[in-house]
Amino acid sequence: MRLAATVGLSAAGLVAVATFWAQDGGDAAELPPPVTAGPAHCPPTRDVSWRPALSSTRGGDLLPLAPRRALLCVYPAPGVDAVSQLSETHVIEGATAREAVAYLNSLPSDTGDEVFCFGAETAMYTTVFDYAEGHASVSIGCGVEYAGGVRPEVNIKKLVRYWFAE
Amino acid sequence: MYDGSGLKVEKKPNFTARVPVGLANAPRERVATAEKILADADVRVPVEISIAEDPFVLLASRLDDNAPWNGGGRWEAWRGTEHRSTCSTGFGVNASGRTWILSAAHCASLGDIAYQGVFGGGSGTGFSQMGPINSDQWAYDLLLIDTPGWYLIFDGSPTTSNTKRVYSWGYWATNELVCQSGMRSGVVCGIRQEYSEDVRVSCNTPDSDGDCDYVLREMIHSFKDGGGIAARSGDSGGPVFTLDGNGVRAKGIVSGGSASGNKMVFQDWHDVIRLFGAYPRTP
Repeated sequence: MRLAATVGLSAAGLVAVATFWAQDGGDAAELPPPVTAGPAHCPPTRDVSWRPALSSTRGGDLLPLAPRRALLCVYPAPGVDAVSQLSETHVIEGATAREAVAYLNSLPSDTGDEVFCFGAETAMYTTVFDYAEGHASVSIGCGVEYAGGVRPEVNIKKLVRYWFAE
Repeated sequence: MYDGSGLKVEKKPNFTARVPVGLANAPRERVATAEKILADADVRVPVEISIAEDPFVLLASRLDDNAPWNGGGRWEAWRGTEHRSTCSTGFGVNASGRTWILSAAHCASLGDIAYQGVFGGGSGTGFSQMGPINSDQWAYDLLLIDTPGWYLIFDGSPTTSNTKRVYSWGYWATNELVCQSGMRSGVVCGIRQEYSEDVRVSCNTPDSDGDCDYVLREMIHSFKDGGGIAARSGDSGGPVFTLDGNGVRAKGIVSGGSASGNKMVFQDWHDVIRLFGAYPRTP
């Protein structure tokens, strides 16, 4: 039996997703990544942390392959309290959304060296992918993380261009 | 008086009271009594001198400072109406016969204007123009802001008004512990310097021009002892230092770190001298 359940938590403006797996046999890396129940939406706030900070990573695809659409949530650099309010939402659909997932799934899970990130605060992005079964929210920080899968480096300019290609 | 018939002067209640940092910054020899100022000005209308009932409150903090600027404050880089990044001030420095503010190059570029405080930040914050970006040494992640710098750095929480004096400077040293005082973390100590090495800029966090995948030279790699967070996003440009008596010794400028925050990468004072001929402003 395989059971996958995802719980979304929201506290003090911080949205976190905790994913729990239970399984009897098989390789976790071969499981399709789970999604969170409910329609895709941009979280109303985002904090400024340099996520992700996991010591190990799930292999396989970072995200399920076939989203129906994808949201780009834009948050301006925060003010006093290190939390930023959603300022813009951009949407892509169909093939373009699948291309964005394909790019994230193509990122290596191990870059060899520890990735260095600058410490200036700028506009921040979260991507949310909408599937028939639910949605997957991926914050872009110093790398990306989703459901226990870490990709230490993402080209943020290349990713954002999927929403502004026209 | 509005009609020009006289002058009312209100003195602060107690000269030993805590004063705004901007006034505290003024050298003592430049502080004169109200009576002397009035006499020197040869005021020829009736003068009424009173003493204020309420004490002065501190007006300067990391979020609301005034010139000459302290280290460890918050600053924003703007190109016209475009916000480019938010960082921390490093140290006031002397170079080329005047003072400047030292910070991190990836925060801004030539053509940008630096502002201290928080745009639209509301109560307890300010937003004041500092000056244009002057020297952008992107390969070493150091820049100068064309604005006067002072010899204090903020010392405490992300909203503190407390300060420490900068007395000296020093080179990096393996295994020596340093502190940093960026505007997002506040003061963090127990950060151990380990090695000097070039570092590649990832495309997770391009610089203010959108550039990435280039190399920063001769950066100091340091780690928070016992785990924990050495630096956060927003601390860039902030002061790295060790203690020196009741003040501090300048060691460098925060550049960035790792995803976990346990690693802090900074540029050391050797390159500040080599590139700018700059030394920290001291009392």
